[in-house]
Order: sequence, then C-alpha cells, then structure tokens
Amino acid sequence: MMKKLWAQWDEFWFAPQSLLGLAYMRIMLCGTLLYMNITRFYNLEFYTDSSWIPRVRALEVMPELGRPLFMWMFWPDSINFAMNLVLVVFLALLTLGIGGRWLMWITWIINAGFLQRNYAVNFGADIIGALFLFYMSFTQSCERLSLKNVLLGKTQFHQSDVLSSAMIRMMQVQISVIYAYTGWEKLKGGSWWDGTALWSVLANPQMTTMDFSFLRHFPWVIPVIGYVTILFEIYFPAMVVWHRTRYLCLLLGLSFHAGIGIFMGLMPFATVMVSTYFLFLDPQLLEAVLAKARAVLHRPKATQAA
Amino acid sequence: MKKVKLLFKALLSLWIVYNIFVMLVMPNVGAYFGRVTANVVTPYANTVGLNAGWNFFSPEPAHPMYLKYTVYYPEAEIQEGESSSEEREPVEGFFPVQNDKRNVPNITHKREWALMRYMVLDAKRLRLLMGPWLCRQYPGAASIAMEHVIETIPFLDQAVRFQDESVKDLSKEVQSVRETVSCQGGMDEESL
Repeated sequence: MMKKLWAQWDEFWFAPQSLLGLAYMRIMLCGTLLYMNITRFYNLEFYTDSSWIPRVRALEVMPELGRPLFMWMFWPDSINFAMNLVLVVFLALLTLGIGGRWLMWITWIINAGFLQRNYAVNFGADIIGALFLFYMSFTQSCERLSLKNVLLGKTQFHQSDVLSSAMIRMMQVQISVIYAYTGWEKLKGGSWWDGTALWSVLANPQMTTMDFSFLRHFPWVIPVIGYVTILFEIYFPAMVVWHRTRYLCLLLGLSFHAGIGIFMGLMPFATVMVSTYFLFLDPQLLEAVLAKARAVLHRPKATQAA
Repeated sequence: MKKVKLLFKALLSLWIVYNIFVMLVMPNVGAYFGRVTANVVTPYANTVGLNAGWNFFSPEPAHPMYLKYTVYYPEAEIQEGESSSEEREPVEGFFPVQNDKRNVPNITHKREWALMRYMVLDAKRLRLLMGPWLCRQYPGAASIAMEHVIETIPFLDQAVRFQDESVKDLSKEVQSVRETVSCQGGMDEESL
C-alpha cells in the first residue's frame, strides 16, 4: 500500500517531463518582468528616502504577520540605478534563455529587494511575477527555446530533472491556489453574490481604459460575466486537472485575462498569470507549434535557395 | 547514487508538503490555522513572497478614490506700514495628480494608485509617511491637511433606472480619513 502510494507520489512530482512548456513560460514571465523593470527607471525615486517610505521603515510598513526577517535589498539606495540596470540585463538574458538557476536566483533576489524597499507601490503583477520567478529559479528553464541552443546548433534536449519536475508541479498547484482563493474572497463580498460587482469595476474610470457606462443599457451582461468569473476562479483547479475541461478552462482564462489586460490596462498582470498556462498544455502540442514556427521561419530560405 | 536520489526525493517531499501548507494558510493567516502555525509559517512565507492575500477586486471592488490635500503657508508677519501681500494662499492638490499630463508609463500610474490606496487605509500612514513627503514637495509650507475622498459608483439598478443621467452625476462624494500634519518641527518617533 505504502509502496504504491509512494510510486504514485513519485510519478506525480518527480517523473521527467518535457521542458518546452517551462521555456515558453520563462519567455513570457521574464519578458513581462523585463518590461516592468525597464519602466522602473522612470520611478527609481520611489525606492529612495526622498519618496514616501524611508529605508528604516521599509519593513515596518508591511503588515505585522507579513514582515520578512530581513531585507533582500543588500545594496544602498544610492546605487539603485546600477542595480536596476543589472536586473534588466539579467532578465533580458533569461528571456533569451541564456543563464541558468544561479542567474535566476540572483535576479529573483534583486527583484525581491526592490519589492521590499517600497512595499506600498507593488501591485498584483509584481507579487505574482516574483513568486513564480522564485519557483522557476530552481528549474532548468533555459534548456529549451534558448538563443544559446540556436548558436550552438543544439538539437537534443534533456527532460526535466527531479527538482525541475517538482517545481513545475508546484507552479501548477500555486496558480490553482491563487485562482481558488481569488474566487473564495469574492464570495465574501455582497456585490459579487448580488451579481453587480463587475459594474463597480467597469464604471470606475480609475480602473478601466475606456468608458463602459454604456453597459447599463445591457445590464444582464454584468451579472453573467460576474458569475462566470467566480465560477471560473473557484473551479479552475478542478477544471484544469480534468483533461476534458482543461482547454476550455484555459481558454476562458485567456479571454478573462485578455479582457483585464486590454480594458483595465493591466497587461503585465495578465501576461504573468497566462504564462503559467503553458505548464498545462500538452508537450506534443507545444512541439507541433514549435515545428510549425520553425517551418515558417525556414520557408523564405528554402524559396530563396530554389 | 540511488540512495542519495531517494534521500533527495524524501527531503523534497517534505518541502512540497510544507510549501503547499504555507500557500494554503498564508492568504488566510488571520484564521485559526494561521494563528497557531504563524511561527513556523510566516518567516518562510515572508522571505520568499508567499505572504500575499489573493483578494483581487474583493471582497468588494474599490470605488474611485483619491487623496485631496491643502497646503497651508505660514501667516506673513505684517509690520507697520506694510501690506500683507506676501502672504501665500493655501494650495489645493490631489494625489495621484488628476488629468495627469506627464509622459510616464502606465505602470507609474498603477504604482501611484496602489500607493494612494495603501496610504488612505490608515490615518497614521498619512501622518507618518504621506504628510512628510508632501511637506517636502511644498518647501516653506506650514501644514498640510489631507483627506481621503471616495466617489461612490451608483448601484447598477440606479444607473439603469436613471439612464439619462451620467454615472458621474449619480455618484456621491464621501470624505473618509482626514489628517493634518505640521511641516515645521521634527516628527515624533511614532511607529506604524
């Protein structure tokens, strides 16, 4: 009995997997963080004593139960420009698939340092992006879709090792828990039960990129989208586990995040969340997409040669 | 080698169980499990970034809000034979800046909104963090009065019933937290 249980556990968490989904995720996640950190150059004063939060209060401003033991920001504020530049270069390398666990570890530490320095200016994409970067830093994320492979002409690829397999699974569990919690939290709100919460979001000009007040002419749309959102979030873990509903669930999520990205101006949040979807896709499908992309890229050369 | 791998898997399994427990407990850390396991859960969670609550737009979506402030300057000392023309009028402002014309990325706006929402949750934050910052933005200011203004979104039913009126006209302005800070003299060593 115990042997059988261990075998199932071992198979689920540690069995070798294709690293292609992880590589797609790496490009999307690191690419998003790269963009966010480039824009940080505009806001470097947010992370100094001339902003709202002096360094000595950086940890104190966090809720008591959420305070880290120490600050990852090991550098003084005066070299923030240089540190952000290093971070941007590292993220660019990782997006291209150059680097490995150590580089991603250092990248995660620098990024976490900035997030802790001014906790009050962080938003969803910062927090979730950093969390997935943490898990990803234990994986062989640069094994596939790497510029290095192209330059070296590498055509044979490893499957995941024990640690990478465990972390891929952990990221799948993590995104499922995030969705479930966001759904449960919504159930605490009267307006979500009532079906009108989405109206408060869409009629709020601070949250949207266009005027959605026309929706009051089609009010039934609002509760329908609101309830679908809650059902999607709460049942994401179950739907993504069951192969028959997996793609429907991911498609729903994709439309949901595309809407958030386009109409609420939260594209970095959308791409961070959607980047994890690659971990749920069939590796054969991903290989087929890659093969097709390669064929398209090589076609002009073949035509030229002909 | 096989034994080493097995040992590694066993240790990794322990971490897997622990990490999943932390990820389930932390978003609801104020609940029973969170309270009784806080000592073993929070140091790890807070270090790696698992110390987040996943409450996007919930339990209720936020209404439009901003921080309104008024900057007061010291009264000019009027000496005999002089007029009081040097006295500076109070200046009114908003944070984040309304109708912002700055050429900055959208993320900058998002960060400023996030900051404002953080500040207005507690008058102490306005007093200890936002107030001193505003004082630095207005050199020579004597004091700054701040108030959290919420422009409520009308209920959907109301917006549907009064379709001829704009949403803005149907909304109400509510003042929430108010705080005044002095820009002259040292700050107290008050903790947050």
